[in-house]
Amino acid sequence: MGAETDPLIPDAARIMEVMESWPLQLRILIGAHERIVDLDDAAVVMRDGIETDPGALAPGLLIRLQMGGADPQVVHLIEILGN
Amino acid sequence: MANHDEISSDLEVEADDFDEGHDSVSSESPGGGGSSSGDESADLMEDGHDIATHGGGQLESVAGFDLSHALTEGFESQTVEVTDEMAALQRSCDLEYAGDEPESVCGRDDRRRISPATSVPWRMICQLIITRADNRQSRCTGWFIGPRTVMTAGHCVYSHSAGGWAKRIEVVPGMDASSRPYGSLVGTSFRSVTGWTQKKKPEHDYGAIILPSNSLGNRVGWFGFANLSSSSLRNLLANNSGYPGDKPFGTQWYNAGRITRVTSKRLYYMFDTAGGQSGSPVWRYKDGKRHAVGIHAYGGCPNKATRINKSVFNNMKKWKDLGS
Repeated sequence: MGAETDPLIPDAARIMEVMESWPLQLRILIGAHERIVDLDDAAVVMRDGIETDPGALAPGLLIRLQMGGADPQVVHLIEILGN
Repeated sequence: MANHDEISSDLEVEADDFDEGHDSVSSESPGGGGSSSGDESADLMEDGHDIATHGGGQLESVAGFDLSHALTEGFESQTVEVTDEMAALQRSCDLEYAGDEPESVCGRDDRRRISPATSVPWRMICQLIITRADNRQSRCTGWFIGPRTVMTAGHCVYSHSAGGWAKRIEVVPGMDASSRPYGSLVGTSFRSVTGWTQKKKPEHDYGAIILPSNSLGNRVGWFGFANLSSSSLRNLLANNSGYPGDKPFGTQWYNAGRITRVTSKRLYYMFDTAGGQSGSPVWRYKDGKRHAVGIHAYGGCPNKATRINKSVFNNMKKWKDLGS
């Protein structure tokens, strides 16, 4: 099984779990589908247009994430949309 | 397929179990069957081999660590019981919660660096440097439970997003920045359970590294571990230390606090953790003995560990015995 490779996940996803490896891995729910995604170790997390710490990621948050950048198989940008 | 069925990184084994998913699986050979999951009977304990201890009490002795915060964090009301530990506190409780703190750092970040990490129990805790199945590097924390056996989170040895078992994991006990006081060993033999490798269940997220020799374990010692009852775990003052990725590489950081919620398979707490601490021990320190009661794996406040229930305990015993 290889890593999932969508360059962009356009729809909002809900965080189900935050796995505390480094870099972080997120178990997310997109619609009815669960998946696990890897964050880049330099992933940027934005909330209300302001960069925040990846530690802000928590179960239940609605996010939009973008894959690609230097490594197309990891998430390099996460926008926190709300609860 | 039972969720705690042991599984290795080479061949996966199916078995049935009351607490599904604890069938052990291995990276190299077929594992045994499962085990029952009951956790409300008498406490089960496997003693560790810590060569030195220092005093009693329930929290480790760490310079600068705020015991009052550890005793109270996670409680919404002011109903903290007054204990002997409270009576010995050096300063009053500070219950301010900064809203802009990272959330896995729950409230105020009161982690304390362990440096050097060459005394017990810190040296039994290891930085894990992982080469995943997809050749990416990642980092976690592990801890010795036997001369050749290092416990960690399941997602540190088997990553679903990476495509399976890690290729190799370098284990560095007592690492302190550039210092590797005991050197390191590379493990390529891993264990987890079908509940994690096949069903991806967070509550079955635990695994182990079987090292090629006992040279490190015999030198640094190892933790005991225990399957405690829910009543013993609820509000227990627990310790945690690991290698967070938000701190300088290879530095070990300690925190502690109460276990605020207990389920049959997980422990919840508000003491601070961060990415990189997956796999770190959550342990009870009592009467001079240390017994791990959980394997930290998830953040998000409350942070979460896989509980060492009877099924987990039995697999850990099996994995420990593999390395004896």
